[in-house]
Amino acid sequence: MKAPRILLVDDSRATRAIVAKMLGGYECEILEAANGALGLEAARQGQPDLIVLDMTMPVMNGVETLQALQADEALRTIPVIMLTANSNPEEMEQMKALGATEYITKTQKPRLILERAIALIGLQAKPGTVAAGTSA
Amino acid sequence: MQNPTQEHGLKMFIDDAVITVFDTMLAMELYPSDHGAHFKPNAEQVIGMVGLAGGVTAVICLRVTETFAHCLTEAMMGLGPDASLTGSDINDVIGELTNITAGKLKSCFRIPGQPCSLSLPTIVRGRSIDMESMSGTERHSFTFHHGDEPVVVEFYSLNQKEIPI
Repeated sequence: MKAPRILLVDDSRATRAIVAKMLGGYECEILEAANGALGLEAARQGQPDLIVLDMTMPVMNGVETLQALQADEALRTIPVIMLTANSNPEEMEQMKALGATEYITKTQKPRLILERAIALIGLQAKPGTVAAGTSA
Repeated sequence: MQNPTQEHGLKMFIDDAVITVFDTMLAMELYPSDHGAHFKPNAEQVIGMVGLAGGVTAVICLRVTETFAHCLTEAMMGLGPDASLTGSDINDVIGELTNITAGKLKSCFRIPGQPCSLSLPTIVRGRSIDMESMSGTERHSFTFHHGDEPVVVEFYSLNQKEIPI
């Protein structure tokens, strides 16, 4: 079975590195993009199974990217986890209304992303590895 | 922010935001300090700045030494102490830490019906940097320590009366 493909869209290389490292113990292919415009292009070319999308980015921010994903028939069914620096209930409702599947703030434990990815796309640990991030 | 209750409230929010961000992103403990920061003379500093605009108008600055910024970058990117880091890597990490801190503060300062936006982070580097507030702007400085390394968070607010503390 083909490993699921996860697209990380965040202008911070450090945040992409944290998420990619956490997903490293799982069967998946990671794609990365540094802003929404590049993320949209990567989504069209790579057809990911899950998108982790930052909110505040240059060129095209998370809201604009989410709207563009929803407007594209080939992409609108891909689950999107919005990753944001701030926890605002109104913004959370707005993102869900725009089509985001999940909304996670960066001050929550990063393993939440992993837990959501497991729930959304059935991410499986690589055989023979101790998958990080789910036991703490 | 002449009101001591507001000053105390701001300190509580900033303490919580900064300590939470360093714990979550870096698994690093920070302790608030009442004694101010002692940056070594001529030590290079890295300052991350993020603006808040909308219901609250403010700038949040996070200031560390270049040496500590290097340690933070290694920790956040999961690299060893001998890793080769570029200035861009360090800017990325300090910018992201400032951004997440500002995001957490933004949610603390939420005013219903008055949306507030964050700017993209800006980085300033240099030695003996003095930052001054303009007329009508209030400056608040909060110091934290990780071991001997100071972390200074400065909060410049324009319409402090509007901050819902």
